[in-house]
Amino acid sequence: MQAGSKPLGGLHDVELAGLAALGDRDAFGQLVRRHNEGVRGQLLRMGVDRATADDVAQDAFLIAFSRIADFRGEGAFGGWVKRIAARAYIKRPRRSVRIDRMEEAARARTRDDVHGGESEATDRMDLDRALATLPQAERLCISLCYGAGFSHGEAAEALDLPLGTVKSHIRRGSDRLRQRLAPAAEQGGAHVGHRR
Amino acid sequence: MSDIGADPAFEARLREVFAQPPRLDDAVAFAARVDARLGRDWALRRLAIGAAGGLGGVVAASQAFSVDALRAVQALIGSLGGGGAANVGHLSWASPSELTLAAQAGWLAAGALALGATALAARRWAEGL
Repeated sequence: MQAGSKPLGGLHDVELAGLAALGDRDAFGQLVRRHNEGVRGQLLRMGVDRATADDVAQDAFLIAFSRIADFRGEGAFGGWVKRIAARAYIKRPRRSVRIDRMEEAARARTRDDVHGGESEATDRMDLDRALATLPQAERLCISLCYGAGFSHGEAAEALDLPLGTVKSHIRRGSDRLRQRLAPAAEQGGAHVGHRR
Repeated sequence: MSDIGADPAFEARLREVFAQPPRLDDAVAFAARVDARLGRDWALRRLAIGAAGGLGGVVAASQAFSVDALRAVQALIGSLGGGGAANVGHLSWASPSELTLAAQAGWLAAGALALGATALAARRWAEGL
């Protein structure tokens, strides 16, 4: 299916979202193909195990489809769905958000899932490994604020934590990350490309 | 967000790296699963609407069939045909039981339509599967 003469793959996210708002599931499918790794990656970096991340990410995309008319392109589509996914995960029943399982799953994921070979991949691997070493509360706050674009206040509200606590977690977490990532930066890993 | 205050350059780099998604082997399969769920949700909605209409029709039809349906149809025809305006005018003075029968004939027709709509929705859902 195309919009005018352009294939769906050539359309911008905002154009695809506009088509999806009219009920075009193919257009929405294109958005899912583009952004599902980012959304699932966000959840994995929050410390969520792979199976749960897949479930939550599916739910997030379905929610996004139902609210697609709300997306007007003020920010990135991927970022919008990441925020939906992050909130959806935080709102899950407590018994399915076991911190010990999250940490164990995160360590396993760091070994198994990340592909390397390029400087971008190296940066990702370094980040993923470094995140896995953080206490869960710091990892969650860092991931929400740097990965999903939450402000400190939004993170505090979502996690039901005092604002000062969130800021402390982010300060300590980013200090730890800086110490762990600094050797990679000094070895020339400072080149960071962008992936669309 | 940058009131952490220590290293704006590091923060900027951190955001850049966070923006790089991991490569996951099943990205295409995941997208297919989402699309399949979207399709199921659409089909379930259609079926639910058809089922609701069908349920109402079944209830109405069972009530209609609990009385003499033939009398109900006759009462409806009698209230609409025959002596023209006078009979139509009579409708407003018809006995309560005749009005009830005519109304039940109407429910009978509505129930049949609802059952048909349910059957059509079920068929389309099955085709979608």
